[in-house]
Formats: sequence, C-alpha cells, structure tokens
Amino acid sequence: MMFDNPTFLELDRAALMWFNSFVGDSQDLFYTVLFQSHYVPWVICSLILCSMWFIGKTQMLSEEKGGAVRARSRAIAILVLVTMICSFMVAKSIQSVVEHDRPLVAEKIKIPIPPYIWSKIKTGLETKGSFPSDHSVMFFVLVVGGFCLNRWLGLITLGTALYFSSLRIAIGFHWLSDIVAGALIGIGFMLLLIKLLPYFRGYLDWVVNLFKKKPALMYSLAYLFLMDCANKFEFIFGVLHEAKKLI
Amino acid sequence: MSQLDLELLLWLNQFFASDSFYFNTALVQTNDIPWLITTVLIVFYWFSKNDSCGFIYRKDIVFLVFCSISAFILAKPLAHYIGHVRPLLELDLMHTLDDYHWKKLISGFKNSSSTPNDLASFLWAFTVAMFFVEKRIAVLMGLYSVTVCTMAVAVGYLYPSDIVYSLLFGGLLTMVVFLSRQWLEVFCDWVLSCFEYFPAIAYPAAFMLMYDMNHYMAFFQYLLNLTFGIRIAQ
Repeated sequence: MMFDNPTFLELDRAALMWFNSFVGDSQDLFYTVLFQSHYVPWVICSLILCSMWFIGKTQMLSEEKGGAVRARSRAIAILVLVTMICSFMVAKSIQSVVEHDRPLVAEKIKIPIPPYIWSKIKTGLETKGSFPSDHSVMFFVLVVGGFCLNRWLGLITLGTALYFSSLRIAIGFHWLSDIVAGALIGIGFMLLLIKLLPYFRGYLDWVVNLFKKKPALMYSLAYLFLMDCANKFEFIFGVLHEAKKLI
Repeated sequence: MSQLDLELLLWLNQFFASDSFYFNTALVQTNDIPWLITTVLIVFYWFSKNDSCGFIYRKDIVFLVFCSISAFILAKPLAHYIGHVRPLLELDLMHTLDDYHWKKLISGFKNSSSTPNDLASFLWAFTVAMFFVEKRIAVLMGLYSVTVCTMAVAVGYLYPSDIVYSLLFGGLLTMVVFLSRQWLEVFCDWVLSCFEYFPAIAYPAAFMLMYDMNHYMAFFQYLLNLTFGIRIAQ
C-alpha cells in the first residue's frame, strides 16, 4: 500500500511537522487557523462560483484574445458546480473505504489549546479516514475552472487552494499525500468533464437560459443554494438526515 | 415602563409559552429567518426588472439596502447609550426551554439593551423603504415585521414600546435617506456602475454583504473595528 512506503511516510511527517511548527506555539493563531479552515473555505467557494458566473463580456465574441464570453463562463460555472458535487461524493466514498488515520490521531503534534476543546474537535474526525482530502478535491476543481475562464481568477483560486490546504495540514486534519491525491482527483475530474463538454453543452445552456427567462426566481434560488454552500450545506444535509431517519 | 407595556408583554409571553411549538417558532423567527427573507427579497427584486428599466429600479434597491443596514448599525450604539434593560433580564418570564438553555439564552443578552432594537429597526427601515420600490410587498413586509416583533416581545427580548421606538427610528431614518437622495445619487451611481462594469467583483462582494447580513453584520463590524477602531456593539 502507498501509505506504508517509507519515502511517502517520511515526506508526510516532515510536511506535517513543518506546517504545524508555524501554528503550534500560539493559541490565538491556532484558534484563527481552526476558524479559517472550518467555514471560510466554503464562503470562498461560493464567492468564486459567483465570480465565475459573472465573468466575461456579454457579447457573442470576446474582445480580447482568450477572454471569456459570458455564456461560456456560465456553462463552465455550472460544470464546476456539478463536478465539485460529484468529486466531493467520490472523495467521501474513498475516505470510507480506505483506512488511513488522520495526523491528529496518528502523530503527536503541537496543540496549544486546552485538551477538552481539542478533544471536542477531534471527536467527529477520529473515525473518518483522511484519504483523500475532500476540501482539496473541491478547491482544485475550482482552480481548473478558474484557469479556464481567466488567468487572474485561476491564480487567485490556486493561491486560496494552497493556503487552505496547508492550514488543514498544519492543524493535523490531513497529510500532504491526502492533499496531493485530492488535488489530482479534482483536476482529473474537471479536465475529463471539460473534454466531454460538447456532449452535454445543450443541458448546461438550458440551465443558463432558465436564468435569462426567469431571472428573479432563478437568482433567488441560486442565492439560497450559495448561502447553504457557504454554511457547509447545513440545510441540505439536515433535510437529507431527517429523510434518512424517516426511511 | 408603563403598565400597558408590562401587561401586553406578560399576556403575549403567557400565550406563546403555553405550547413549546409556539415558543420554539418564536425563537427561530426572531433569530435567522428575518435576515434570510429580507436578503432573498433583495435578490428577487434586483433581478426582477429587465435591463431597459432596471437602472432606476436598482437604484431604489441600493437605497433600500443602505437604509436598512444603516438602521441596524446605528441602532446598536443608540441602544447602548439609552441602556434599556431587556425584559428577560429583569422579569421572571414563562418559557418552555430547559433551565440550561434558558440561562444560556439570557447570558447572551447580558450586555445588550432593547431600545431601539437593531433587528426591529432593520425590519421597519426595510418595510418603509420597500414602499418606494413595491407597495404590495411593503404591506406584506409590514405584516411580517409585526409578526416578528410580536414574537420578540413574547420571548422577552423586547417590550412592546421598544417596537414603537424602533419603528420610529427605522422609519424616520429611511424617510430622511429617501428625501435627501439627491445627495446620495453619486454614491448610488458609483455602486451601480460597479455592477455594470465589474460584475465579477461586484456580485461576489454583494453576496458577501448578504452573507454577512445573515450573520448580524459580524464581519462588517469586525472590519469597522479593525480599520477605524470603532466598536459599535458589546
């Protein structure tokens, strides 16, 4: 198995200790990092999706070479959203199959906050596998989508993805290998779907046209969806959980 | 506090505390739902007119957002200055929660005052401003504001008179802003031009504002504190 390979193990441990050394000595910094890695990535995801939807000129042809046309950017934004959901589910399925303990369970890292708070945070994570990182999958789908539309958006998304991935290593939620695997899955999925785009472009255009025909209704629904995305899909998961209980 | 104020509060509290469903509904309705409803309405009306006549309409919506947020932000320091203690802190009210959760709820309000209430001022400012945008929705919004405020009285967040003061504060602020709109036109045009020329930046920024509104403008208050050192609430 890849996880037993001494080179990988050594690299994972070295990265974990290096990132943890930045946040492990300050309680305030550790709390900030915990807060940032909890809700902020989801808010940023919603903001980037929103930006993707409105990027590009509204004319049929872009004025600058390589510039995005609004209709195409909207098709890509929907594609990114669909890919994010699919690859997130794939990553969660792999996590439940592959047994790989999180660094906070397997290694002794510096935790500068009171043990009872840390044990509360750890409780939900201890039983879940860490391979691959679902956050990293989600972010790297956005990175590919961002680069497809605009170089600057791509660079900003890449910077954000690297920043949040390193935060998750620093607090012991993931190994470096989890992040790399998540990134590869995200990039692979997105590139594959971009290749297949001509086959289902019609469906994407149909959704885009719905926003043109009924903008008030569709944008209100899109707003509610993005709001739930920024809140870690608490509402959708809550409804699914209740439905599961009923069944 | 007048006798009428107290009697009305106790009567509403008794009615809502008679059933845990009523009481829990009142707690939820006075917490997150009003923010979600108002922000969805803003998005709905922003996109409800086509481009040819949408500019003037959107201008009104910018004013509406400006009034309601100003009412919310300004009500906080004013309430702190007036220092009217909340009913749930000074009266022994009925409730359907267990003691732990009730004490936790009360402890969250220890440093806050009730006149004028920030949420009520926001809702009334929004309702009055809505009259300039869409009168039918303004009537519905008025009814909804009354419902939310009644529930806030029932759970003991506010006295009935606080609602009246909040209505006066929010309503007057909105009237002043809408009557002096020619001085704010430049700001409004600038906001609209941002949406016109930089939509990929302006719409995410607007989403961030809406998201923040759903979290009691916590990020905005943090930024205000960080940049100007202004602390507008406890």
